Amino acid sequence: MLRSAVEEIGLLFFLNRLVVRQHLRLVADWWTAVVGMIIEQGTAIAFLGVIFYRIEAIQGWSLREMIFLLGLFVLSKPVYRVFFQGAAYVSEMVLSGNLDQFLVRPRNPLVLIVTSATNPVATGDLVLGAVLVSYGAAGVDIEWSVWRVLFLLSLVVFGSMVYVGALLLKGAVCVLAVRVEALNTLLQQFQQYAKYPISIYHPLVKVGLVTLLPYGLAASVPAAVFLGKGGVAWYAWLAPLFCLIYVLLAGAVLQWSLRFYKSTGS
Amino acid sequence: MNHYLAYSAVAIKEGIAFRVNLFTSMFGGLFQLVLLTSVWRAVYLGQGDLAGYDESEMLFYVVVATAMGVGGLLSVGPIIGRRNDTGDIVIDMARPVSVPWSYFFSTLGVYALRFWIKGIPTLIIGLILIGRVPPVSLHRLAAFLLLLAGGSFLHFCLNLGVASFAFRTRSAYGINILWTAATAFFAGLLVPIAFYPEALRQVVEWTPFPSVAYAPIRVLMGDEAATGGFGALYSGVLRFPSVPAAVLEQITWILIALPLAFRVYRWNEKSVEIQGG
Repeated sequence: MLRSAVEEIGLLFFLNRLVVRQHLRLVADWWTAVVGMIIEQGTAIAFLGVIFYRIEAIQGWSLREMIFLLGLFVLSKPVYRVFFQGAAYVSEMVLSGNLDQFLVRPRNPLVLIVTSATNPVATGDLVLGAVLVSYGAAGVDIEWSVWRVLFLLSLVVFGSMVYVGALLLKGAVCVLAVRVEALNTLLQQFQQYAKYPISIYHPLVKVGLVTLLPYGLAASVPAAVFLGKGGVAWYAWLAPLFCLIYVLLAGAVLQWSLRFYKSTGS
Repeated sequence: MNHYLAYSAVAIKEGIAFRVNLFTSMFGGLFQLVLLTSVWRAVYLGQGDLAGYDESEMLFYVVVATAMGVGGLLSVGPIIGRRNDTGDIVIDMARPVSVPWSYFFSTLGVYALRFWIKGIPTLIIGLILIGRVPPVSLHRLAAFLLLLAGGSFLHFCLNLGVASFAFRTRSAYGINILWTAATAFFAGLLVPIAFYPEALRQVVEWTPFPSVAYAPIRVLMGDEAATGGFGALYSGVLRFPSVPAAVLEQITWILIALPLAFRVYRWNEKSVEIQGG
């Protein structure tokens, strides 16, 4: 079993290298995507800037703290975008019938699906996220230690699993209902919730952000831990572990849904 | 004209065909609305007026802006990107119709559906969420709808020119992200332009973006002050009231943007290169 898992991980890196090379041919698109992402996050920064031009804090969160949170949010995406972006396209695969190709190959379909795409935006995410976290952290009182640095690094890796998990769950819904592209928009919009402190939301939204679609575990909960905000339980430190469990469960759900897959034949 | 309307009809039929998708899409605006109202409620905690908006006015602004964003602004970027990616653009170019107009009508069909399925429910649910339906006179509502249609068409013109650069970059992904972000910020879909620092506000007011969304919302909210840029010019020099000034400003931008967008599109179209995929 261990050998098989190692083989699958090796395959994941091999296939990923191929799709990254494909993207590297489209240099102009790579740059526009990166610039586009920076502008997209720039809008969030500008949004905060405009608000903080008029006020000093949002429920006790200063501008620097909000930027730190935004930085964590941005940093939680590159691993997903580089290695698992294919998870975002299950709906298109179902609709076009291309999923058939992955199911007839003699390897784990999940690995083939998630490695079928990559996203150049990841490079911009990594740079911008690091800049934002550094800028935010420089203006607030964080007691850095080895454990906190390890916690931050584990968030960069495992925070991504939340996005992959949510997309795999969406994929499972698409396998069962064929066309549910609107879920893409819903997921993208729910992700945005993680850019802001979890304390500002209605209790129902808070629950959603740490359970069904736990984007909060990738950014807003860890940010509250780093910044020592009140109301954060000790197990918030286990956020990366929860992210990993979530993606494994989501993968199992997608595998289960494939039993009911009917090709569109298109 | 009938040829073009057929594009709209096909887009509507496609949209209706998948009911689960149609139903799910209703929640898109709602998610955004809950996010923005939560943020703005937190912002206004312990605050009075900010930039001339009290909390209740701000929440109303957010609801209308979100409803417009999800269901009211014609955007051809996605269709240009898709057709360019798949190579189907060459089939479109071979057809005896104008490609930009065919995309316009196709998108019009999508948005006709989206207006009713996303825009209107978002507006209604948003008003229920904030618990406030402000008094809006009939003529303000009519002016808003007129400006909404004009703003949507202006958005199409601007988006057409910008999205066609995808023919040069080979993919529309980055351009579409860039466009969405720019529109959200400069058209006042995220924050009223009155919130911006003075220098930035003055620059933004001389761009076409406020005519896309900010001006219609201001008119709906009964703001008597003229919009900036051309609107202020018409209002100041020609002594136009705020509503005709806003309409005239929008027409001015459409007259500038439409020919320019088609010119840019034709120029970029020469760079279409399909890899045979």
